[in-house]
Amino acid sequence: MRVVHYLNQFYGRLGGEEAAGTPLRMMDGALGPGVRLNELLAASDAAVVATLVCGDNFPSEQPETFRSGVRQAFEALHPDVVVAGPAFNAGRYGLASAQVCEIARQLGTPSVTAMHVENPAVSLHRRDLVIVPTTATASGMQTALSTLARLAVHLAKREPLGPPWVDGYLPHGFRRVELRDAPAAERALNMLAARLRGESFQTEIPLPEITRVEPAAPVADLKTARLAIVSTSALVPHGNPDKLRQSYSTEWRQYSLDGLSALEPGQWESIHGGYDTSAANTNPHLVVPLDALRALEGSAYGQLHPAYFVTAGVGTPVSAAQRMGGEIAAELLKAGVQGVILTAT
Amino acid sequence: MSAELERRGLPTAMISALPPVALELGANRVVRGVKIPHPCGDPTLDAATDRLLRQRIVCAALDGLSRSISEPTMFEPG
Repeated sequence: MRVVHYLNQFYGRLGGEEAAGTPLRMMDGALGPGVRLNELLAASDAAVVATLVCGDNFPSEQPETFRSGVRQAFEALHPDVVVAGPAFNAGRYGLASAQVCEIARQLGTPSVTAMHVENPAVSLHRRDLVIVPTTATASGMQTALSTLARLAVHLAKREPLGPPWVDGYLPHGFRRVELRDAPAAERALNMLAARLRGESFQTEIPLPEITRVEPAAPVADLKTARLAIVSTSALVPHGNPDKLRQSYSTEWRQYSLDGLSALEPGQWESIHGGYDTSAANTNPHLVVPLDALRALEGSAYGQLHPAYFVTAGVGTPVSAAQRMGGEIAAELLKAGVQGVILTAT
Repeated sequence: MSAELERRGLPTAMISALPPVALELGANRVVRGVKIPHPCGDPTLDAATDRLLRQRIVCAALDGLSRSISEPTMFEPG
Protein backbone atom coordinates (compact mmCIF):
# COMPACT_ATOMS: atom_id res chain seq x y z
CA MET A 1 0.00 0.00 0.00
CA ARG A 2 1.26 3.42 -0.97
CA VAL A 3 1.49 6.09 1.70
CA VAL A 4 2.32 9.74 1.12
CA HIS A 5 3.54 11.68 4.14
CA TYR A 6 3.35 15.45 4.70
CA LEU A 7 5.89 17.26 6.89
CA ASN A 8 6.74 20.88 7.58
CA GLN A 9 10.17 22.35 6.95
CA PHE A 10 11.45 21.56 10.44
CA TYR A 11 10.58 17.84 10.45
CA GLY A 12 11.52 17.69 6.79
CA ARG A 13 15.06 18.68 7.81
CA LEU A 14 15.12 21.94 5.85
CA GLY A 15 15.64 24.24 8.78
CA GLY A 16 13.74 26.11 11.41
CA GLU A 17 11.73 29.31 11.30
CA GLU A 18 14.12 30.82 8.74
CA ALA A 19 12.95 28.16 6.28
CA ALA A 20 9.24 28.71 6.94
CA GLY A 21 8.72 30.19 3.50
CA THR A 22 9.99 27.11 1.67
CA PRO A 23 7.64 26.21 -1.17
CA LEU A 24 6.06 22.79 -1.37
CA ARG A 25 8.44 20.11 -2.60
CA MET A 26 8.21 16.38 -3.11
CA MET A 27 10.92 13.99 -1.93
CA ASP A 28 11.26 10.28 -2.63
CA GLY A 29 10.60 7.89 0.19
CA ALA A 30 10.48 8.76 3.88
CA LEU A 31 12.37 11.34 5.87
CA GLY A 32 12.53 12.68 9.41
CA PRO A 33 9.81 11.04 11.53
CA GLY A 34 8.59 9.38 8.33
CA VAL A 35 11.45 6.91 8.58
CA ARG A 36 10.03 5.46 11.78
CA LEU A 37 6.52 5.66 10.33
CA ASN A 38 7.75 3.64 7.36
CA GLU A 39 9.17 0.95 9.67
CA LEU A 40 5.84 0.68 11.47
CA LEU A 41 3.96 0.44 8.17
CA ALA A 42 6.22 -2.29 6.76
CA ALA A 43 4.55 -4.94 8.93
CA SER A 44 1.32 -4.32 7.03
CA ASP A 45 2.84 -4.23 3.58
CA ALA A 46 2.64 -0.47 3.34
CA ALA A 47 5.40 2.03 2.65
CA VAL A 48 5.98 5.77 2.50
CA VAL A 49 6.57 6.19 -1.22
CA ALA A 50 7.04 9.97 -1.09
CA THR A 51 7.11 12.86 1.36
CA LEU A 52 5.70 16.32 0.72
CA VAL A 53 7.62 18.97 2.62
CA CYS A 54 6.52 22.56 2.91
CA GLY A 55 7.47 25.62 4.94
CA ASP A 56 4.98 26.62 7.62
CA ASN A 57 4.21 29.97 6.05
CA PHE A 58 3.84 28.87 2.45
CA PRO A 59 0.28 27.45 2.66
CA SER A 60 -1.09 30.75 3.98
CA GLU A 61 1.12 33.01 1.87
CA GLN A 62 0.43 31.16 -1.37
CA PRO A 63 -2.71 29.15 -0.80
CA GLU A 64 -3.57 28.49 -4.43
CA THR A 65 -0.08 27.35 -5.34
CA PHE A 66 0.03 25.18 -2.23
CA ARG A 67 -3.34 23.54 -2.86
CA SER A 68 -2.78 22.85 -6.53
CA GLY A 69 0.71 21.57 -5.75
CA VAL A 70 -0.64 19.10 -3.20
CA ARG A 71 -3.44 18.03 -5.53
CA GLN A 72 -1.03 17.45 -8.43
CA ALA A 73 1.31 15.46 -6.18
CA PHE A 74 -1.54 13.19 -5.07
CA GLU A 75 -2.71 12.74 -8.65
CA ALA A 76 0.80 11.75 -9.73
CA LEU A 77 1.53 9.51 -6.75
CA HIS A 78 -1.95 7.92 -6.31
CA PRO A 79 -1.48 7.08 -2.62
CA ASP A 80 -3.75 4.64 -0.84
CA VAL A 81 -3.65 6.88 2.21
CA VAL A 82 -2.16 10.23 3.17
CA VAL A 83 -0.55 10.87 6.56
CA ALA A 84 0.11 14.44 7.69
CA GLY A 85 2.17 15.43 10.74
CA PRO A 86 2.22 14.83 13.68
CA ALA A 87 1.96 18.58 14.16
CA PHE A 88 1.63 18.58 17.98
CA ASN A 89 0.81 22.13 19.04
CA ALA A 90 2.29 23.87 16.02
CA GLY A 91 -0.64 25.91 14.70
CA ARG A 92 0.54 26.64 11.13
CA TYR A 93 1.70 23.06 10.70
CA GLY A 94 -1.60 21.72 12.05
CA LEU A 95 -3.62 23.91 9.71
CA ALA A 96 -1.47 22.90 6.74
CA SER A 97 -1.76 19.22 7.68
CA ALA A 98 -5.52 19.54 7.89
CA GLN A 99 -5.61 21.21 4.48
CA VAL A 100 -3.54 18.40 3.01
CA CYS A 101 -6.01 15.86 4.42
CA GLU A 102 -8.93 17.89 3.05
CA ILE A 103 -7.43 17.83 -0.42
CA ALA A 104 -6.91 14.08 -0.17
CA ARG A 105 -10.53 13.74 0.92
CA GLN A 106 -11.72 15.73 -2.08
CA LEU A 107 -9.83 13.32 -4.32
CA GLY A 108 -11.42 10.35 -2.60
CA THR A 109 -8.22 9.32 -0.82
CA PRO A 110 -8.36 8.42 2.87
CA SER A 111 -6.15 10.47 5.18
CA VAL A 112 -5.17 10.84 8.79
CA THR A 113 -3.34 13.50 10.74
CA ALA A 114 -2.18 13.95 14.34
CA MET A 115 -1.93 16.99 16.58
CA HIS A 116 -2.60 18.26 20.07
CA VAL A 117 -6.25 18.76 20.89
CA GLU A 118 -5.71 22.49 21.38
CA ASN A 119 -4.15 23.00 17.97
CA PRO A 120 -6.40 25.57 16.22
CA ALA A 121 -6.82 23.17 13.31
CA VAL A 122 -8.76 20.80 15.57
CA SER A 123 -11.69 23.11 16.22
CA LEU A 124 -11.93 23.83 12.51
CA HIS A 125 -11.62 20.29 11.22
CA ARG A 126 -12.47 17.82 13.94
CA ARG A 127 -15.79 16.83 12.44
CA ASP A 128 -14.43 16.13 8.98
CA LEU A 129 -11.01 14.61 9.44
CA VAL A 130 -9.50 11.70 11.32
CA ILE A 131 -7.28 13.45 13.85
CA VAL A 132 -5.15 11.53 16.33
CA PRO A 133 -4.70 13.49 19.58
CA THR A 134 -1.07 13.91 20.63
CA THR A 135 0.98 15.51 23.36
CA ALA A 136 1.56 19.24 23.00
CA THR A 137 5.27 18.74 22.32
CA ALA A 138 7.14 16.16 20.29
CA SER A 139 7.66 14.13 23.46
CA GLY A 140 4.77 11.97 22.27
CA MET A 141 6.22 11.36 18.82
CA GLN A 142 6.56 7.57 19.11
CA THR A 143 3.01 7.06 20.35
CA ALA A 144 1.66 9.36 17.68
CA LEU A 145 3.54 7.53 14.93
CA SER A 146 2.26 4.14 16.14
CA THR A 147 -1.33 5.30 16.12
CA LEU A 148 -0.89 7.03 12.76
CA ALA A 149 0.58 3.87 11.24
CA ARG A 150 -2.21 1.68 12.61
CA LEU A 151 -4.99 3.98 11.42
CA ALA A 152 -3.29 4.61 8.08
CA VAL A 153 -3.36 0.88 7.34
CA HIS A 154 -7.06 0.58 8.28
CA LEU A 155 -7.91 3.60 6.16
CA ALA A 156 -5.82 2.43 3.20
CA LYS A 157 -7.70 -0.87 3.26
CA ARG A 158 -10.96 1.13 3.36
CA GLU A 159 -11.93 -0.56 6.60
CA PRO A 160 -14.43 1.37 8.71
CA LEU A 161 -12.87 2.78 11.86
CA GLY A 162 -14.05 1.66 15.27
CA PRO A 163 -15.35 4.14 17.83
CA PRO A 164 -12.92 6.96 18.76
CA TRP A 165 -12.14 5.60 22.21
CA VAL A 166 -11.13 2.27 20.73
CA ASP A 167 -9.20 3.41 17.68
CA GLY A 168 -7.58 6.47 19.23
CA TYR A 169 -8.79 9.47 17.25
CA LEU A 170 -10.80 12.58 18.19
CA PRO A 171 -14.57 12.02 18.19
CA HIS A 172 -16.41 13.48 15.24
CA GLY A 173 -19.48 14.18 17.29
CA PHE A 174 -21.66 11.66 15.50
CA ARG A 175 -23.96 9.34 17.36
CA ARG A 176 -24.44 5.88 16.03
CA VAL A 177 -26.97 3.44 17.37
CA GLU A 178 -25.27 0.25 18.38
CA LEU A 179 -26.10 -2.84 20.37
CA ARG A 180 -24.25 -3.20 23.66
CA ASP A 181 -23.46 -6.48 25.31
CA ALA A 182 -25.37 -5.72 28.51
CA PRO A 183 -28.51 -3.71 29.30
CA ALA A 184 -28.10 -0.14 30.51
CA ALA A 185 -29.12 -0.94 34.08
CA GLU A 186 -26.38 -3.53 34.34
CA ARG A 187 -23.78 -1.20 32.81
CA ALA A 188 -24.80 1.59 35.17
CA LEU A 189 -24.59 -0.64 38.23
CA ASN A 190 -21.19 -1.93 37.16
CA MET A 191 -19.97 1.66 36.87
CA LEU A 192 -21.41 2.49 40.27
CA ALA A 193 -19.81 -0.57 41.85
CA ALA A 194 -16.46 0.36 40.32
CA ARG A 195 -16.81 3.90 41.60
CA LEU A 196 -17.67 2.75 45.11
CA ARG A 197 -14.68 0.42 45.10
CA GLY A 198 -12.48 3.32 44.03
CA GLU A 199 -11.74 1.67 40.70
CA SER A 200 -11.62 3.49 37.41
CA PHE A 201 -14.52 3.26 34.98
CA GLN A 202 -15.46 4.72 31.65
CA THR A 203 -18.41 7.06 31.71
CA GLU A 204 -20.84 6.82 28.82
CA ILE A 205 -21.81 10.45 29.14
CA PRO A 206 -18.84 12.76 29.65
CA LEU A 207 -19.93 15.89 31.47
CA PRO A 208 -18.88 19.30 30.18
CA GLU A 209 -15.90 20.99 31.78
CA ILE A 210 -16.97 23.42 34.48
CA THR A 211 -14.62 26.30 35.07
CA ARG A 212 -14.61 27.48 38.65
CA VAL A 213 -14.72 31.18 39.31
CA GLU A 214 -12.88 32.69 42.28
CA PRO A 215 -15.52 33.89 44.74
CA ALA A 216 -16.02 37.64 44.51
CA ALA A 217 -15.14 39.71 47.55
CA PRO A 218 -18.10 39.95 49.91
CA VAL A 219 -20.33 43.00 50.05
CA ALA A 220 -18.25 45.56 51.93
CA ASP A 221 -20.96 46.99 54.15
CA LEU A 222 -24.22 45.10 54.03
CA LYS A 223 -26.08 47.76 56.04
CA THR A 224 -25.63 50.33 53.28
CA ALA A 225 -25.40 47.98 50.33
CA ARG A 226 -27.53 48.16 47.21
CA LEU A 227 -28.65 44.67 46.26
CA ALA A 228 -30.52 43.34 43.24
CA ILE A 229 -32.74 40.34 42.54
CA VAL A 230 -32.06 38.16 39.54
CA SER A 231 -34.16 35.10 38.84
CA THR A 232 -34.20 32.19 36.45
CA SER A 233 -37.77 31.42 37.49
CA ALA A 234 -39.25 33.26 34.50
CA LEU A 235 -41.55 35.28 36.75
CA VAL A 236 -42.80 38.06 34.48
CA PRO A 237 -45.70 40.51 34.45
CA HIS A 238 -48.94 38.75 33.72
CA GLY A 239 -49.40 38.18 30.01
CA ASN A 240 -45.64 38.03 29.39
CA PRO A 241 -45.72 41.35 27.53
CA ASP A 242 -42.15 41.08 26.28
CA LYS A 243 -42.55 37.47 25.19
CA LEU A 244 -39.80 35.87 27.26
CA ARG A 245 -39.29 32.37 25.89
CA GLN A 246 -40.43 29.60 28.19
CA SER A 247 -37.44 27.37 27.45
CA TYR A 248 -34.10 27.44 25.66
CA SER A 249 -34.12 31.04 26.70
CA THR A 250 -31.20 33.08 25.50
CA GLU A 251 -32.57 36.48 26.51
CA TRP A 252 -33.34 38.22 29.76
CA ARG A 253 -35.77 40.94 30.68
CA GLN A 254 -35.93 43.52 33.41
CA TYR A 255 -38.96 44.80 35.24
CA SER A 256 -39.46 47.57 37.73
CA LEU A 257 -40.06 46.87 41.38
CA ASP A 258 -40.10 50.59 42.13
CA GLY A 259 -42.74 51.36 44.72
CA LEU A 260 -43.79 47.72 45.02
CA SER A 261 -43.70 46.20 48.46
CA ALA A 262 -45.23 42.96 47.29
CA LEU A 263 -45.89 40.95 44.15
CA GLU A 264 -49.64 40.54 43.73
CA PRO A 265 -50.75 37.19 42.36
CA GLY A 266 -52.57 37.78 39.13
CA GLN A 267 -50.20 40.60 38.21
CA TRP A 268 -47.26 38.25 37.78
CA GLU A 269 -46.92 34.79 36.36
CA SER A 270 -44.16 32.32 35.74
CA ILE A 271 -43.92 31.23 32.15
CA HIS A 272 -41.16 28.70 32.85
CA GLY A 273 -41.53 25.52 30.84
CA GLY A 274 -39.55 23.34 33.24
CA TYR A 275 -41.29 23.33 36.61
CA ASP A 276 -44.80 23.32 38.00
CA THR A 277 -45.56 27.03 38.16
CA SER A 278 -48.84 26.81 40.06
CA ALA A 279 -47.24 27.62 43.44
CA ALA A 280 -45.35 30.59 42.00
CA ASN A 281 -48.45 31.90 40.24
CA THR A 282 -50.47 31.72 43.46
CA ASN A 283 -47.71 33.39 45.46
CA PRO A 284 -44.93 34.95 43.38
CA HIS A 285 -42.83 35.48 46.51
CA LEU A 286 -42.09 31.77 46.49
CA VAL A 287 -39.72 32.40 43.58
CA VAL A 288 -38.97 36.12 43.94
CA PRO A 289 -38.89 36.96 47.67
CA LEU A 290 -39.78 40.64 47.37
CA ASP A 291 -41.81 40.71 50.59
CA ALA A 292 -38.92 39.45 52.68
CA LEU A 293 -36.44 41.74 50.95
CA ARG A 294 -38.64 44.78 51.57
CA ALA A 295 -39.05 43.79 55.21
CA LEU A 296 -35.28 43.70 55.64
CA GLU A 297 -34.54 46.76 53.52
CA GLY A 298 -33.00 49.60 55.49
CA SER A 299 -32.12 47.34 58.40
CA ALA A 300 -30.36 44.15 57.40
CA TYR A 301 -29.15 45.74 54.18
CA GLY A 302 -29.24 49.15 52.45
CA GLN A 303 -31.54 49.29 49.45
CA LEU A 304 -33.13 47.01 46.90
CA HIS A 305 -32.30 47.95 43.34
CA PRO A 306 -35.57 48.85 41.61
CA ALA A 307 -34.92 46.70 38.55
CA TYR A 308 -35.50 42.97 38.69
CA PHE A 309 -33.80 40.76 36.06
CA VAL A 310 -35.34 37.55 34.84
CA THR A 311 -34.87 34.72 32.39
CA ALA A 312 -36.25 31.19 32.05
CA GLY A 313 -33.60 28.77 33.21
CA VAL A 314 -34.52 25.62 31.33
CA GLY A 315 -32.51 24.15 28.50
CA THR A 316 -30.38 27.28 28.57
CA PRO A 317 -27.09 26.69 26.83
CA VAL A 318 -24.17 27.37 29.18
CA SER A 319 -22.71 29.87 26.74
CA ALA A 320 -26.01 31.79 26.72
CA ALA A 321 -26.16 31.74 30.52
CA GLN A 322 -22.64 33.13 30.65
CA ARG A 323 -23.47 35.85 28.18
CA MET A 324 -26.65 36.79 30.02
CA GLY A 325 -24.79 36.82 33.33
CA GLY A 326 -22.24 39.16 31.82
CA GLU A 327 -24.85 41.49 30.34
CA ILE A 328 -26.82 41.66 33.57
CA ALA A 329 -23.61 42.20 35.53
CA ALA A 330 -22.79 45.18 33.32
CA GLU A 331 -26.23 46.71 34.02
CA LEU A 332 -25.94 46.09 37.75
CA LEU A 333 -22.42 47.48 38.02
CA LYS A 334 -23.46 50.59 36.11
CA ALA A 335 -26.24 51.10 38.63
CA GLY A 336 -23.97 50.74 41.62
CA VAL A 337 -25.39 47.39 42.75
CA GLN A 338 -23.02 45.61 45.12
CA GLY A 339 -24.53 42.16 45.53
CA VAL A 340 -27.06 39.86 43.95
CA ILE A 341 -29.67 37.46 45.23
CA LEU A 342 -30.35 34.94 42.51
CA THR A 343 -33.32 32.60 42.77
CA ALA A 344 -33.22 29.43 40.74
CA THR A 345 -35.96 26.94 40.01
CA MET B 1 -25.17 32.90 35.51
CA SER B 2 -24.15 33.27 39.13
CA ALA B 3 -20.59 32.30 38.21
CA GLU B 4 -20.50 35.04 35.61
CA LEU B 5 -21.91 37.64 38.02
CA GLU B 6 -19.23 36.69 40.54
CA ARG B 7 -16.55 36.80 37.89
CA ARG B 8 -17.52 40.45 37.29
CA GLY B 9 -17.09 41.17 40.98
CA LEU B 10 -20.71 40.92 42.18
CA PRO B 11 -21.05 38.54 45.10
CA THR B 12 -24.10 36.45 44.30
CA ALA B 13 -26.11 34.34 46.70
CA MET B 14 -28.02 31.71 44.79
CA ILE B 15 -31.15 30.26 46.35
CA SER B 16 -31.45 26.79 44.93
CA ALA B 17 -33.40 23.69 45.86
CA LEU B 18 -30.54 21.59 44.47
CA PRO B 19 -27.48 22.99 46.27
CA PRO B 20 -25.12 20.13 45.34
CA VAL B 21 -25.87 20.74 41.67
CA ALA B 22 -25.42 24.48 42.01
CA LEU B 23 -22.12 24.06 43.86
CA GLU B 24 -20.87 21.50 41.36
CA LEU B 25 -21.66 23.74 38.43
CA GLY B 26 -19.75 26.79 39.59
CA ALA B 27 -21.99 28.79 41.96
CA ASN B 28 -19.94 30.04 44.89
CA ARG B 29 -22.56 31.13 47.43
CA VAL B 30 -25.53 28.79 47.56
CA VAL B 31 -28.49 28.96 49.92
CA ARG B 32 -30.59 25.84 50.32
CA GLY B 33 -34.04 26.54 48.88
CA VAL B 34 -37.15 24.61 49.80
CA LYS B 35 -38.23 22.90 46.58
CA ILE B 36 -37.73 23.50 42.88
CA PRO B 37 -41.18 25.03 42.22
CA HIS B 38 -40.94 27.20 45.34
CA PRO B 39 -37.35 27.72 46.47
CA CYS B 40 -38.16 30.75 48.64
CA GLY B 41 -40.93 29.32 50.77
CA ASP B 42 -43.44 26.58 51.41
CA PRO B 43 -47.04 26.90 50.18
CA THR B 44 -48.14 24.08 52.46
CA LEU B 45 -47.47 26.28 55.49
CA ASP B 46 -49.81 28.99 56.67
CA ALA B 47 -48.99 32.46 55.33
CA ALA B 48 -47.25 33.75 58.46
CA THR B 49 -45.02 30.70 58.89
CA ASP B 50 -44.18 30.73 55.21
CA ARG B 51 -43.17 34.40 55.44
CA LEU B 52 -40.90 33.62 58.40
CA LEU B 53 -39.30 30.78 56.45
CA ARG B 54 -38.76 33.15 53.55
CA GLN B 55 -37.08 35.68 55.81
CA ARG B 56 -34.72 33.01 57.12
CA ILE B 57 -33.83 32.00 53.56
CA VAL B 58 -33.21 35.60 52.53
CA CYS B 59 -31.15 36.21 55.68
CA ALA B 60 -28.99 33.22 54.81
CA ALA B 61 -28.50 34.80 51.38
CA LEU B 62 -27.52 38.12 52.96
CA ASP B 63 -25.15 36.26 55.25
CA GLY B 64 -23.58 34.60 52.25
CA LEU B 65 -23.16 37.92 50.50
CA SER B 66 -21.32 39.45 53.43
CA ARG B 67 -18.92 36.59 54.02
CA SER B 68 -15.52 36.18 52.53
CA ILE B 69 -15.23 32.65 51.15
CA SER B 70 -12.48 30.80 49.35
CA GLU B 71 -14.49 28.04 47.73
CA PRO B 72 -18.09 27.18 46.84
CA THR B 73 -20.01 27.35 50.10
CA MET B 74 -23.51 26.40 51.13
CA PHE B 75 -25.47 28.58 53.52
CA GLU B 76 -28.30 26.95 55.45
CA PRO B 77 -31.28 29.10 56.41
CA GLY B 78 -31.17 29.44 60.21
